[in-house]
Amino acid sequence: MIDSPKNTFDFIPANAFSYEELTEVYNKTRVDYIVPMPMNAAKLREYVESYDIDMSASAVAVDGNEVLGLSMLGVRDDRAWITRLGVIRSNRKRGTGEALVNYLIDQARERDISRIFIEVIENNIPAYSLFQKKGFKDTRDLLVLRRPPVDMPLLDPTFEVQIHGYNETLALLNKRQSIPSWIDETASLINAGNLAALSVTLPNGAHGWLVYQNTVFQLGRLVIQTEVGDPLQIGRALLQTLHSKHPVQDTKTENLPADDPHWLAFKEMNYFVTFRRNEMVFNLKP
Amino acid sequence: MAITEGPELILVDLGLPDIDGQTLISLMKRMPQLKGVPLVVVTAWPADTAREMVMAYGCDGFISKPINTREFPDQINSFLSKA
Repeated sequence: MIDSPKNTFDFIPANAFSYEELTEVYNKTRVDYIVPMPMNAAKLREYVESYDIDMSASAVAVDGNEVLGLSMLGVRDDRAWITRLGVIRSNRKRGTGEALVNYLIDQARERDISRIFIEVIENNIPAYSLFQKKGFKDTRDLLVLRRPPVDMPLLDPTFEVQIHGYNETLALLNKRQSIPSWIDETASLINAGNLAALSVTLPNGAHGWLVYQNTVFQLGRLVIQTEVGDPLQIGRALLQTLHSKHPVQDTKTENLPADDPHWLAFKEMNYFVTFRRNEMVFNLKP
Repeated sequence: MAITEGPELILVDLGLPDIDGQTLISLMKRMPQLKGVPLVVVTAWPADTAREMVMAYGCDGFISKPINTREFPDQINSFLSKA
């Protein structure tokens, strides 16, 4: 229990609740959120499994019988990730959000975590200020991108395209040079499933590859890498190949770093930014 | 239901927990039975983001959430009159 001059909080581990109960709390905390992100129980379970959420470290904040909010902690090795932090609107301005963050930091310490990551949606000033106050530092800006199905020009026949099986896809991910955010780390991709990959070699010897998630109606979770040559040229070739291969699927990909050298290729291929996130990190150990 | 009922207008809530609204729009845009039916997005996204999505996904407009119940009938009529 945590006392503050006005408030008394209890924290109940999230694993004491059903996914239906947690979803109800989560959706109540997000009714006026800056980016609409409702969930159902199945999606929340999928989220927990994809991102290695530690449900014993995650918590629902209560005051007696009144539920105030919740937050979740992903844990991998010596790293952690705060996510789904939210306070029900009628219970705000009581310090609940800060209390939840303090609780999760304590949980991370108990698990010998070295670093805690968070991604705050751009212009979410209250959240950004809270994490700054707690000692989180900015690392980079991340883009969340969408692309509707758009007719593509015919694929350049000089492209040498290779489609990769699952084991080759994993091997490609082992070679990735970009630093992923939590949701596009290799573990997240493997947990999410339905991975596919393709690579392209151009006549000038430029070469690169793309790993993505392929579900019935949507493509997502793109990881793109240029091995040799110009990232704009390779990015263009890879995305053109991807969308020629999957002409009717909508695409969503999260957390492309704003300074990624392939970003212009995404723009050329009709991707647009729906919102941005500020990634922040808190070092528990020097 | 959209295919069997022959609607004059389709409203798509982008904030559905069960399905991605933009993906649903992409599917409906490819259905010949729905060709010419106005597709209007209902969303809590900021207006500039909603506008960009409407343009990118080829929709006919958007209505911001929370819905203003006094304005809603006129909003619907304006989309129907353009159909």
